[in-house]
Amino acid sequence: MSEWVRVGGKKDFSAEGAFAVKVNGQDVCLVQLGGKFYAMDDRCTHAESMLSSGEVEDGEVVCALHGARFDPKTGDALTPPAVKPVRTHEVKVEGDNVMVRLSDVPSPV
Amino acid sequence: MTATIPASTLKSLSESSIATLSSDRREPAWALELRQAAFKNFSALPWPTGKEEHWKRIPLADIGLGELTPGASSSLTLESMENLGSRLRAFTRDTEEAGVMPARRFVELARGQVSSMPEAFRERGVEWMTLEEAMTTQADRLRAAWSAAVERAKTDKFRSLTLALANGGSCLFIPRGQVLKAPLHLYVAAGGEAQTAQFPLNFYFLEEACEAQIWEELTGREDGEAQPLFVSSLSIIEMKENAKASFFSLQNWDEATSHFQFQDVSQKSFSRFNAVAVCLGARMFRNESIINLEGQGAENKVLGILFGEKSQVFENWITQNHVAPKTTSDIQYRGALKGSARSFFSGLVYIKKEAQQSDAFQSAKTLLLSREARADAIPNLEILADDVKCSHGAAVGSIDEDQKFYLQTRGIDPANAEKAIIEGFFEPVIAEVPSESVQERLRQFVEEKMKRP
Amino acid sequence: MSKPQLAPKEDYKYGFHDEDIINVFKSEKGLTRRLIEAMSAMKKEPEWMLKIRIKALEVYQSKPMPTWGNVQLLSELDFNNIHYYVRPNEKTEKDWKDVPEGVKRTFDRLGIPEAERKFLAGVTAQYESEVVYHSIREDLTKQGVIFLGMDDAVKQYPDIVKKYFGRVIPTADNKFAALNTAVWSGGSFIYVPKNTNVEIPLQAYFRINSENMGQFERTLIITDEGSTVHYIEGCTAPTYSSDSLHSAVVELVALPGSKIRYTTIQNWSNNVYNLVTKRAVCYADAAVEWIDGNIGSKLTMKYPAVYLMGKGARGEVLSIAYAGKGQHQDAGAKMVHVAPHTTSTILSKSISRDGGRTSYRGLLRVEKGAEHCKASVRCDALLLDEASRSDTYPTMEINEKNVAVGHEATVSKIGDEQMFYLMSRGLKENDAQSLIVNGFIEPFVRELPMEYAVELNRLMQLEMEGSIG
Repeated sequence: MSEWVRVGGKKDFSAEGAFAVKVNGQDVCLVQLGGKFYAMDDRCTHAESMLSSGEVEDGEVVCALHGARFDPKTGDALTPPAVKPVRTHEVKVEGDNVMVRLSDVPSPV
Repeated sequence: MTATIPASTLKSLSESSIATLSSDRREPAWALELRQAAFKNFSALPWPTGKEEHWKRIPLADIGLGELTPGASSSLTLESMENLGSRLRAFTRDTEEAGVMPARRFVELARGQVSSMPEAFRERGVEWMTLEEAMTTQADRLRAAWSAAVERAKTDKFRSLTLALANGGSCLFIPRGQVLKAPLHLYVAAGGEAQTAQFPLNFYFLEEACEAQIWEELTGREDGEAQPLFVSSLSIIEMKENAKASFFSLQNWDEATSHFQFQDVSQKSFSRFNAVAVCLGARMFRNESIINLEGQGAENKVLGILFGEKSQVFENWITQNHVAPKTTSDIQYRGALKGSARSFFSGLVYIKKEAQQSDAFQSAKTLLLSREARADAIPNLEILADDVKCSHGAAVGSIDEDQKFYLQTRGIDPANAEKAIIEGFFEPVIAEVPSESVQERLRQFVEEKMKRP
Repeated sequence: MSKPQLAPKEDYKYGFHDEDIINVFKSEKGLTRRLIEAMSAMKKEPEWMLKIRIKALEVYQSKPMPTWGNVQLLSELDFNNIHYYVRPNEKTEKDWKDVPEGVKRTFDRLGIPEAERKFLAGVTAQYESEVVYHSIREDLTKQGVIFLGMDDAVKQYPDIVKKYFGRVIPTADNKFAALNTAVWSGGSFIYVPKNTNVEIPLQAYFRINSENMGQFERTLIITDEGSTVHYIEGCTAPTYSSDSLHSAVVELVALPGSKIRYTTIQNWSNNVYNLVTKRAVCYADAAVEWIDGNIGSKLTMKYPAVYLMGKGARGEVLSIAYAGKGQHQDAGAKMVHVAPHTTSTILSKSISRDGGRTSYRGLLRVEKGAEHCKASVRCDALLLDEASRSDTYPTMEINEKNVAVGHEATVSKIGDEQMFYLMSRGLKENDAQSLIVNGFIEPFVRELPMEYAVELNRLMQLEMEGSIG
């Protein structure tokens, strides 16, 4: 089981949106949505672009490169050109700290 | 004498490292000039990021191209032919049994070369020498071919790098009209320190109406201890009018070796180029061949077999340029993949307006033997002449269950049925290999690959 | 206003234009945010659509032009020399007699009202940027079939439109999808309710009249579970010596067990750039068929796609391309197998003549998990003279083991034996060649409704005339 890793303070992610963070050297896309946090691999399953450089729109993460959309809660691909889910990671907030624990499941892509 | 570029990674190479390399070897001024010209082209081109179509399937991060150090190169002659060991003899057994002595060249990367040339070759004027020797004895010819290669490679970063850092290669010259019955064997063993890079540059000058068979084997280290090695090699094959050549190559590197293999072939009128490439070893192996059918009536047949396992990556990029009329090309590749191996085939048949009445065929078939294996293929055609025959096919699939079932009803157990199907799949290409003992050895290799978990 | 310059092309019978059209609005050349705001206001669109447009404009401006394909021809198109929005009318009419006289005359000449009477269940007629006429048979409306101009659908069915618009082809998918999303106008919207078969085709007809016109229709078709529909589109434009641009986005959603057939007879004049994105998502046991004929335009770049998302889904692309002098048909197909037991077929036929160039560019991708899928691609090219060119760029990416995937292609000229045989039977050289070409495209023509098959054969006849000597 991976360790919980602090990726920042709540105030670092105060605006709703996607953020690039590193967890154990791995690129993770942290999403703040309505004050709740979600985390996923920072790599679109279509053309491997960084999801954190995209926007969060109507509760969905939109890849900036070709517009594929993902559900931050489940990682599901919601629209073409992506068809494969992106792997998600656990997030918790302890006090002011936002913590991420990497999934043990191998990436589907 | 051993030449080493003072501790410099590929990323930090400079003009002065090239100058040192050339002066350590006491090369003629023209060689340094050509190296610098190629180095300039190399430096002007960007490093691949891994996102480009050309690079996205290569495990660039694993290889760490930019951080590699150019390995030592040597023009030392290895003491004796004993280094060849039993492996080389196995490779050449049946020609010896037939009473024909092959010419042999043994190269151990980073250490040196040794060769033996039977009298039958010598008296026909065949010359086969190290690149360094050729710089003095075949200066004009070598210079012209090297310089043309630098020009052609202008937009190709690693072709240029190979032309700039060339070492450990050889140069073969077969005079006009000489028909050689015995083959020439080139045997290359991995060598040198871990995380080093080697850049063999080979020239083949095949004069008018000559005939030759060139067999090449690439193999792991003599001591059997695999260490990460990167090889970028370039073979320049010039075939004059009516020349005929069969190239057979067996790539059987150890699993720590990565290799970019470049090949430039030019074919004059009515020349015939036959190639069979067998690809079994290496961590990553990429072949990029550009074949120019420059003279009317030139013909070629380019066949390949590949069998990948574990996380091996095999790529074949083959361009057939039909420049002259009535030229014929034929590409047939067959691959089988297990484990999480990957293969990529990119063929381009280009038929120029002037190349009327040409005939081109290309076929790439891949068997996927595991769920984690993957195969990509792009068999492209660009046809600018109307009076041509041109077709291509590509197929990817698993073992046909109906065939397997049929064999089982004949009393063959599932594992053997599968084996029979895979052998049957490779057989049309294996049958083209110009030696029965080598064919037998290939069948053994295929069987060994199949058996491994 | 300067008189538009007409370039003569005798065998293109749709090259006429109407001079006496009075447009309600014609934008200045070029694309600006102000224009988008103005057109949205003229259309009285909801705010959410304007937001989508403005965002799309930013995406469009930030994306580079494609670096593949016919980069040279593409670079010759001056995007600043295009009228992006031309409004010929105030509203869509339901009766031809209410359509402005000049516009109606054009459609009469194109035979649309006549075709409608004879064999169509519904018609959308678009002139420049707007749908000027729209009708659907009453019995279909009663069954709950919705067939509307896209602009009307945004206002009347915002919930369905919001649910699917841009979710098959996102704004950022490619530069031209972004352009269309920013400035789209017109196009069709179809929703077929569960278990409803629309047996007679619905048709849209697109006409460009002005010089340097940009037409950006947007089409969305949804077939609910177990339903079927056949949609046909045709298009023509006057022949001018300067360029026009047509850049459509077509999104299809075939829900489980439904079937969509989408037929296109693209016959733009040879000064039109046709840069179109077409994509379908196809769920379990559903089928999508793209029947795609490309005869006109200067440069077409179009690769209809089917994403096979559900078990048992089936995709098909059947296409012909004809490229004559100065034309490049860069067309193809994409099939993405995501679910198991999916099947796809691509059959592409192309003919190049008089220096024309056809390219087949395709992608066949099998994702991990798409076990037991079957896919076949076949491309046949015919070169009619030595000035012409044919390319085949097929990409196959296979990530699953238990599959059967095959690709075949041939390039050939008309065989001397074939010609000799036909001429020995008393056929003139010209007729013999036409006959062979007709035979070559027969698998395509067979799939068209009879009236279209006759029309297409006649069109090809016209294109082939004078091709000898």
